Amino acid sequence: MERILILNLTRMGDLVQMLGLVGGLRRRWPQARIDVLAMKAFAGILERFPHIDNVLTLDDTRLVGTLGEDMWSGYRELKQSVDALNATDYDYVVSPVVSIQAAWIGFMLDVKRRSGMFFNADRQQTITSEWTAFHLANEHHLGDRTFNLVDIFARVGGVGAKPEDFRLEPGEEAEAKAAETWREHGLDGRQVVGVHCGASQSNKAWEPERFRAVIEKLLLHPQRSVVLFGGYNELALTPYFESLRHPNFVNLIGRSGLADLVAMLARLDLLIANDTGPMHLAASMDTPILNISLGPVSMWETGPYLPGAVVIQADIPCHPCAFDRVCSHLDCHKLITVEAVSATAESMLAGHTPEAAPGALTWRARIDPFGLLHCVPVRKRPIEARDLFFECKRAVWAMTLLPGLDEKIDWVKVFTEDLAQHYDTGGLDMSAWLSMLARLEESAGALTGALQDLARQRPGAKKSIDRIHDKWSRIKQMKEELFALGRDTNDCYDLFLYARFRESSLESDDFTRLTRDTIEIYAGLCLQLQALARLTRSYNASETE
Amino acid sequence: MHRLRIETARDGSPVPIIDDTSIHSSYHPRDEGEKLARRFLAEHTGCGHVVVFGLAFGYHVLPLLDQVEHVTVYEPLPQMIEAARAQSHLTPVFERTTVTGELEALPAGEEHAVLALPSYRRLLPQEWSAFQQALSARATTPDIDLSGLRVLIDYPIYGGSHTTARYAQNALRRLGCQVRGLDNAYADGMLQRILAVPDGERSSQMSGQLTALLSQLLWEECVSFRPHLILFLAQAPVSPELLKTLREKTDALTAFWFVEDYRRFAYWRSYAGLFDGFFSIQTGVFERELLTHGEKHYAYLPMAADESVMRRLDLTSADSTRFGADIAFMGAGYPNRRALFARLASYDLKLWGTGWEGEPALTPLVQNGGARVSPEDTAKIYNATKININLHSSMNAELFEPDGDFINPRTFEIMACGGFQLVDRRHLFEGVFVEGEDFVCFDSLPDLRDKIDYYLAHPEERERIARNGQRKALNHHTYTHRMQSMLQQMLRWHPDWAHRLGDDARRREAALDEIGDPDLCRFIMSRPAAERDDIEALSAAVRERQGSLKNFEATLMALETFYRNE
Repeated sequence: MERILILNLTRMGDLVQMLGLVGGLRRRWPQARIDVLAMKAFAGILERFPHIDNVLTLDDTRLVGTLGEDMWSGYRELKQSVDALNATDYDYVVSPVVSIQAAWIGFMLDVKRRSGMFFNADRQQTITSEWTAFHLANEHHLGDRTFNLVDIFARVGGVGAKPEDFRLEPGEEAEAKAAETWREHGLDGRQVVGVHCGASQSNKAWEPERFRAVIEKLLLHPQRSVVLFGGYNELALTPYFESLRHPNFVNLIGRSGLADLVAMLARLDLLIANDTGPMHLAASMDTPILNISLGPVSMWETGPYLPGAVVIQADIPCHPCAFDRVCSHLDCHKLITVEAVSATAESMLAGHTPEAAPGALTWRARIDPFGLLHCVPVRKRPIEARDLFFECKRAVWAMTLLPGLDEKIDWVKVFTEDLAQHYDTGGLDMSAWLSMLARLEESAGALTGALQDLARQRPGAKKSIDRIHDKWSRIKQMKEELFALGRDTNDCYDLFLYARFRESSLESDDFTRLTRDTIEIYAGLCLQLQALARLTRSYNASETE
Repeated sequence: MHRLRIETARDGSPVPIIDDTSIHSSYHPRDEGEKLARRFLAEHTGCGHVVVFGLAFGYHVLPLLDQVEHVTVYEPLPQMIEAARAQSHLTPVFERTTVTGELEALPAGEEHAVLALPSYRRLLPQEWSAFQQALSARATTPDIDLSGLRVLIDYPIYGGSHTTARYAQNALRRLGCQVRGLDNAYADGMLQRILAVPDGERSSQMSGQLTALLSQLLWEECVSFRPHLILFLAQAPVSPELLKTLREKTDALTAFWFVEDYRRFAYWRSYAGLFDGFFSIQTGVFERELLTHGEKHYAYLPMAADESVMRRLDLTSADSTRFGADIAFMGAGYPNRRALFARLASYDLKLWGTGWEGEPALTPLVQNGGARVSPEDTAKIYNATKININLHSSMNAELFEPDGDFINPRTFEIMACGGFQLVDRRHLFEGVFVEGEDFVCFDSLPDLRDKIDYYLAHPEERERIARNGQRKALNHHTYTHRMQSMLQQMLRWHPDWAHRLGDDARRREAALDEIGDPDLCRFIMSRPAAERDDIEALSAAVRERQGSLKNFEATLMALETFYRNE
């Protein structure tokens, strides 16, 4: 493998989440050239990535053109960019994020191997990575226990992410500037807590008054300073902090560029932040993090990729909510109290395990036995039946998707023992899920059987062709019924969507092969359902007693 | 017929008097004529051909003879030409210019400047209007590819001109232009709330803020659509600031079609001079007012009919019964109309439209509870009714407004539907319509009653007149004709606009040459001209295509995602 291209035309947050992919590719192919194609507006952060050889950019202001220009200047720009990519003759293209833009551009690249979602010559979207199919399927269950984007992106690229991959390099100049800033504000030798109270949407941002109250509590410690960070968008929050006059409080909102920010975040003893780009930057610098997870944020998917990071979220059924939801109550904000955040921060600064916050759930990030980022409660506690079911499904996903799991290891046992360290799992009634799984297994099994029966038909006499037509019609109907059942039962619908996405991406001129591959997909679904049922049953109180 | 007599001015010069109005100065007509000519020449230096409206006794024409190469003089009054020929001082005029009483003799096909005798414009507005129209029709305009023309129409929030905007949009599309309409009707709810605020000053302030916001949205539309022309209809929400910005920062021309009564709606004063073309359904005094407010590019552009809506219909018997009557009126219940129709209640009369409440004599005649009538049902009414009464609106209860200076859209719409109408007389009809052939006019209530009785008894004559009127309307008075006139007028005022319109095609050709993809070229040239630079239209076309995906298609689709900011 000589030349690898990563297509990531999204915003800064998703670019940072790509660190694991880049590190994994570098570990797997130490000599390969790794290039990234990104949008110019957000590409600055890529200069801080280790292991990237070239950062290539698309400038959307030039693609779209300005008043008085027409689309042809943009067409030329885009074509020239694609021609330049093809001139490099890449061996492998990875598109870790599901992106229609990347899918079109990826189609135009002349490469033998591609991983992600792309358009094909039949004008269809084709998914060439099981992890992309999983990611798309899992959108249906946003918020349920799934994998971190860092892991997903890396796995789309066919590699695994490690926490040590998740590192940025601020650069000497930025580090020197950070050192000077520390000196200027007398922060050397002190315990320094950073606070970032911004977010891309207001429903993801804890109220600035609450942040201020936390800051005031933190400042009671005489050896401690608090630094407030923020970019251009956070300047609007400045009035909330203007009257906060304390010798150990430093307001740096709007006063640092990206590289400087990375360098300063690296010097912190703790960062308290919403789900925001700087939080991920801090994770990349190994800075301890207390993340407040609100609104539509799924901490499973976008939580800090840093073992030991702590996440607080409200214990409320409507969180996380849909991205476009307009919420009338914002209870997920209110249930996270100033006292809970302050107390958790103090515990972390003292090196202690935080207590679980009342009304809220407090999590600790860690790498699970599968090698994937996972969150567990800071203190062992009982688990609810629904949450247990989704932990089981997460394990089934890991066992489905991770290539090369050591077959000598009983992963089910590994999972159950690991789970028992963090949760009380006794006395759970899983019967509802078991009954659901039984129905789904039966339906999926019938479909797989019908597909296998079809594969055995040999077209020849007219009678056989008619029979094939009948069977095919019946299979179509069974599939529709199966998917309707999956949709109605909801909790396993991602498994069905995964099967569907994989099936829709099958490409072959060979009907026999297509049938065989389709059978494999639905047989795989059956196996997933069976595995899930086995795991779930092992926790069902009436069967364990 | 105008009465002409000749008197002697203080300086001894003969001066014609028309209808007791002196055409030239009754003191120093020669001095006055020289001043007029001098001012005109100063404003039109280097002009090789001048067309004069109004000969009269030529004191304004004589100074032109040695300054201008060609002069054509149009005199609308035959008796004036006869009287002028008898004036010896006018011998050089008859020898060295073309004096004509025929509109068809006006020059065609070249640029010329027009000098109008001010007293004639005041005294003979309909002749002036006919003169202007004839001159417009005879002027050639640079060829433009209308299929490449992008027009953005800014709709009003509500009101009658909202429908006019829609008709204009339809017409421009029929002409082959690429048209986008910015319909501001969604802002009506907010506007009504603002207008309901008791504090008038605060309400006015908020209205201004709403206009500013809608103007910003219009700007965004301009950025994405890059129109060559932005057409504003009356009451379209646009701030003067945006008009200035459009002029400074874009190549787009702006045109305003003021389809209202300038006396009743005076907001035009804030906008005079800010558009690149100002079109109005009124002429005469309004034109002078516009000139004093700095508007240089004004043209008369009357209403019309949308031939796709207002047309002859084959009505079902149910519709004939529902919409038919001996006489009918479709429109708003202005005071003069209420007064008139109250006196026609003995006929089989149907009244349609809004604003008729509170008049007990009319209540039994009002259809559909006085609800608003759709354009489609309006066409049915015009088709089904034996005699459509068309009375122009007036805010006072006097029945007729003899000085009415506009023609309402109803006039054209009834004609386009092939309906027969009795309409109150308007001076603007002269030279445009033929009474008794296209429609029939009435001048008083007794006159109207007589004509109703007559035409009810003579259906074959009604039908003849209705068919003539329909032919006239469809051949000359549709919105397609109006939009064509407007575009031609804009080109005459802004001749460099034609050149700019070709820039898109030139840029595209250069880009296609540079890109060098024959599949792309074939695809682009297979698209309608209006779509060849439109990424949305091109990507929609790609979606419809089948067969193996090509790189140029993927490039277009990828580019579209950037435009849509996905």
